[in-house]
Amino acid sequence: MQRYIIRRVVLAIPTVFLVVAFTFSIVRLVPGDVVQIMMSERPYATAADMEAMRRDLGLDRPIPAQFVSYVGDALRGDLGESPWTQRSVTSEIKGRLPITLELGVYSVLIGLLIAIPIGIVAAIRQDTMLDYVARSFAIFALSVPYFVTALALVIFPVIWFGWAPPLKYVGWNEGPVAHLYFFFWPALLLGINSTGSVMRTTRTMMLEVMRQDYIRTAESKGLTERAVVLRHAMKNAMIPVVTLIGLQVGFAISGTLIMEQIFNIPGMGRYFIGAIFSRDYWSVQGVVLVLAIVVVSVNLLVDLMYSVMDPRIRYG
Amino acid sequence: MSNVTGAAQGIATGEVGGRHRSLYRDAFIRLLKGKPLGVVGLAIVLVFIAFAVFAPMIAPSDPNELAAGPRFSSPSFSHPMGTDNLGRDVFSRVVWGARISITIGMIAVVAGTVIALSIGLASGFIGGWVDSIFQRVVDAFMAFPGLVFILAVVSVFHQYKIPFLPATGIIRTENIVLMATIGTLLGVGASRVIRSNVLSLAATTYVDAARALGAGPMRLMLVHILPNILPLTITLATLWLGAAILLEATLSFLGLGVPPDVPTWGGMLSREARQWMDRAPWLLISPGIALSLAVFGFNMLGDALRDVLDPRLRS
Repeated sequence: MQRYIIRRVVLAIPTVFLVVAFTFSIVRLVPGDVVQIMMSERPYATAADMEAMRRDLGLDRPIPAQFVSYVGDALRGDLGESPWTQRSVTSEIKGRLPITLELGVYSVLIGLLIAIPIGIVAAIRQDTMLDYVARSFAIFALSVPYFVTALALVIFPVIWFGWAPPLKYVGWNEGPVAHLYFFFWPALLLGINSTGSVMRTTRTMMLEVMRQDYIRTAESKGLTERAVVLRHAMKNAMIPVVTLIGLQVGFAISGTLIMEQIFNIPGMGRYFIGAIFSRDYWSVQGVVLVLAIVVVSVNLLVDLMYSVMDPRIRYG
Repeated sequence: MSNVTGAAQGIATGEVGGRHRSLYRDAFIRLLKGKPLGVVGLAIVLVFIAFAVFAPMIAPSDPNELAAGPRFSSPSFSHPMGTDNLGRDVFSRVVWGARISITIGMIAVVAGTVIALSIGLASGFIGGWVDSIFQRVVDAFMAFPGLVFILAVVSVFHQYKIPFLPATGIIRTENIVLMATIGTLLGVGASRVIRSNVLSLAATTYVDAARALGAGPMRLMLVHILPNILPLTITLATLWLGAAILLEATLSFLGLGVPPDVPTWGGMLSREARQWMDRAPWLLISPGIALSLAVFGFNMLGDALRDVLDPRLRS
């Protein structure tokens, strides 16, 4: 067990290294001269200005030296400074990451709360109307893009009922209820969109588990269906579903980037898209690195959780 | 004994190829007979492909023609999906949007398939350090949420034009970057599935037999393994096409995909279009439904193909 954990953590190191190398390259791979591109909207900039900026950003040094100081700074939590706003990328991200993560966590939770019960019911009532409705719902939820449902939610209720979901961010200190309600709609729509894969896996695993001998034993002992399903079958059927949570988090992060545009949420997504449009490559680099590290860590955690949850699995 | 000579004759007369074709014909018949949802998916897909191929004939007016009708006219007989803030015919734009979505999706999927097959075959068949290196790279790749990876690449090329490409039309810089990135994302992600399939095929007796007969690694890969991972590849490619269309629409929605002068479903939902939607809600409905239906069609078809093409699931 301990060996497995160590092995798993060690295997994550090359992944993180490649992730850092990729984000480092973003600025350096911009075709042409990045400083010239950044300055192209400022025609008053002289060659001396550009030289000064290049020196400021450390781009005049050899690439390996740049990489070493990039990694060193990143390890100390310093992701550089935006050449436009002169603000530290780390502090910009610090204020926004919690908001994005909060939305992501809510959407994953809502997704699981919807998907798991439906998956279980679809399995124990296999091939009934309920099963078909549940499965069609999953495919439907998977096919309608969340930005289409989100736009529909923002546009139609206003026209029909004069009601709109909140579109102005409410901080936690302005009232927890209003804060949670602000997140409710985007999280619900994202959650619904992500139910498909979890629902299918839950259903398949339940079907498999329900055919096993120990379930028949439990049934023949005279236990109610409720007890058999909730106490005996679910425990084993849920294990593979846990592995999906890692995937769900990656999906949710992509989703929050889009939802932030529609619901005006001041998180990583708006910062990210804004940085792309304003050619602020240092902020882009920082956002990409932080989001990738979040996903790597969550997946590592999920893997470790999996090995703890299922004692049948012995890792060498 | 007669069976053996029959098979030998079959090989001699090239009937093996014929049998392959009948595998796909069988699968197609099973799809038509036993998979009603798959047939619905197929029908939707065919309609959109018809839109894409015959767009100039189906669309009543040029998708970019200003004042093809009055501004903001609601759906009517002459404009079945209404008109937008510039008086452009929304139906024409949705039809042309199918052409862009499917073209970009298909090229991205072809690129993705080449990538998935190359990595999957090399990694699964050669194994050893080649496998280790490829798998670490794939790991790192999977660490990026899909959209974050695409946005990172798009940000790099956002201000850049590839010199020898035309400034308009389908093969301009923005679209090439989009297709290459979506293709890479899908291909690298799916190479894992191909790899595990190659691994299990490489361990079968018939591959051993071919090796004993003196087949080299290239021949083993291309003649003996590749045809057997083709059904899986076809299934994956169908599902990816839906994913690629969705990704392209997402990027265009953000204003970072196909350039705004081209009518796309995602572009019709972007920030510029959104300001008119409370006045003209049909501007959301038509592209939204077109996009959802296309994704739905490819998903359903892909799901059904998985069932009919995978011999292990056959009853």
